Amino acid sequence: MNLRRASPEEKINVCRKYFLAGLPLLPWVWIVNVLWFWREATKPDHIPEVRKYVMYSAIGALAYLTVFGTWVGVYQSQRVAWGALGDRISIFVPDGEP
Amino acid sequence: MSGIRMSSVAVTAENCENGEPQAPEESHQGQANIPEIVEPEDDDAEEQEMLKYGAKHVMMLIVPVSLCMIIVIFAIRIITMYDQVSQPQVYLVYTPFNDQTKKTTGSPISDAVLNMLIVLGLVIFMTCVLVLLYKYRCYKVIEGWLFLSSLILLFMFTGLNLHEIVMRFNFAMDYITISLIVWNFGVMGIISVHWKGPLIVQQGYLLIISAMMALVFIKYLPEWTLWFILGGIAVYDLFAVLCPKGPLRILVETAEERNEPIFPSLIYSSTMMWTITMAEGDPVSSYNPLNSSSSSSAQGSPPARPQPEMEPEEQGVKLGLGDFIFYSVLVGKAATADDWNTVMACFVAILIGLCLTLLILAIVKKALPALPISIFVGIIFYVCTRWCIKPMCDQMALSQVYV
Repeated sequence: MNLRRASPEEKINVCRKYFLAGLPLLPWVWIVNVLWFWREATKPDHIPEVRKYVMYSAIGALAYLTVFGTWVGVYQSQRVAWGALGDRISIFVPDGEP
Repeated sequence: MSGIRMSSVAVTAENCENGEPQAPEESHQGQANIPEIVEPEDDDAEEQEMLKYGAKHVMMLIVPVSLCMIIVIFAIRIITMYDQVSQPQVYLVYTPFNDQTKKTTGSPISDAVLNMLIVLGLVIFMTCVLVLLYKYRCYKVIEGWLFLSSLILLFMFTGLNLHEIVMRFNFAMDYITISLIVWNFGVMGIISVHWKGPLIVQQGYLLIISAMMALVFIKYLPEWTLWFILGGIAVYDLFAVLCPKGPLRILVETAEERNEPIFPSLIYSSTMMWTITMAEGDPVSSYNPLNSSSSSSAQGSPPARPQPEMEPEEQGVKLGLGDFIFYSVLVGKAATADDWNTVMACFVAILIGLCLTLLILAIVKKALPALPISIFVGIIFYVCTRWCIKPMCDQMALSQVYV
């Protein structure tokens, strides 16, 4: 889809659908949404809905990524300490000293 | 797995000749008959424009093809799963004549030829099924088939590959993290390939899908069989696109009659197509944004074609995903030989073949098979490099002779 040639309704539609698509734990979809519509949302004659959805997507992506990053940090540091539970939720247990 | 993958075989073909860009060509040729002193500047300008068009579009295809091949090469070098021959080696059910089953004819070459005939027969059958489905307007079936295949590739194979990468780098990973990563990657891939998305994201996902498909081929096909299949598919491609009764040709013509794009999926396009209008201003057809799905189109997508003219910067060339896959298969197989000379030689060979094909395309301006030249040059280079040049270089290095 070429953004330059899309009508405003189509832009709003696509931006909105991307926002909705990103709701089930999909920060990557939100990030792509933000990057794609960034110029659209920040130019002087922007469409308010597009800007709104871009902002929501950005905030949502940040929130999801924070939660996700926290989980990864916790897992990597505490995996050994958790013992059996740590092994059960691991897809792969590395060799060598913990 | 293998069943579903092979069932996603589909044709990639281009449709519709572009009417407009040919007009200036013809008039250019018409002018060339007139003594060139008369209007040299116009001739030069048009010719330069045509050349610029050509070179830019060659680059637009070389970059993704190179990227796909580089991904495959690195995957093979880094993820040893593709390199090592696991015991027992698992092969696709389509190649029964291998050293793991009881049914071997004793000679690897005849095994390979038989396997190749089976696979080729399957490819021809699938292509014909697809053409029939297209002819009788069963679009839903085709779309569902392609959707399913890209679904499997984007989720299952991504998961497998990630698992292998994690094992290779000795990195702890839990189910939650990996499932979230695969989930994000897969859903974004499906959206960008089958619906709308930024061009670069779509192209990136197509490249990754092609690379994963190529890796599957490399891992699950026996050695000699793979080379014969490459050759066989290249020959088939030639016939399917150029013969009047070839299935791909029929597909192209049917799509032209109906004035609609052929399978926006399965084709890598370097630019976006939107609407095309004729000089008079009537809308000829409105193409959907060209998405592509994976499907190993074992028929090797031929058509590398110039797109109808819209704005000068929006012209692009289209190349079928099967071409990406088979180029990468060739280079990847060369990479398993543990010698960078071979890899570089095949890499260069394929790019040369692609440039030659595009050159012929610029002259002929019809849908062309993109596989034959590259594959044959690649096979020749592989054989020469592996068995002639490499030993020669080794000897020269040992004897300290520098050329």
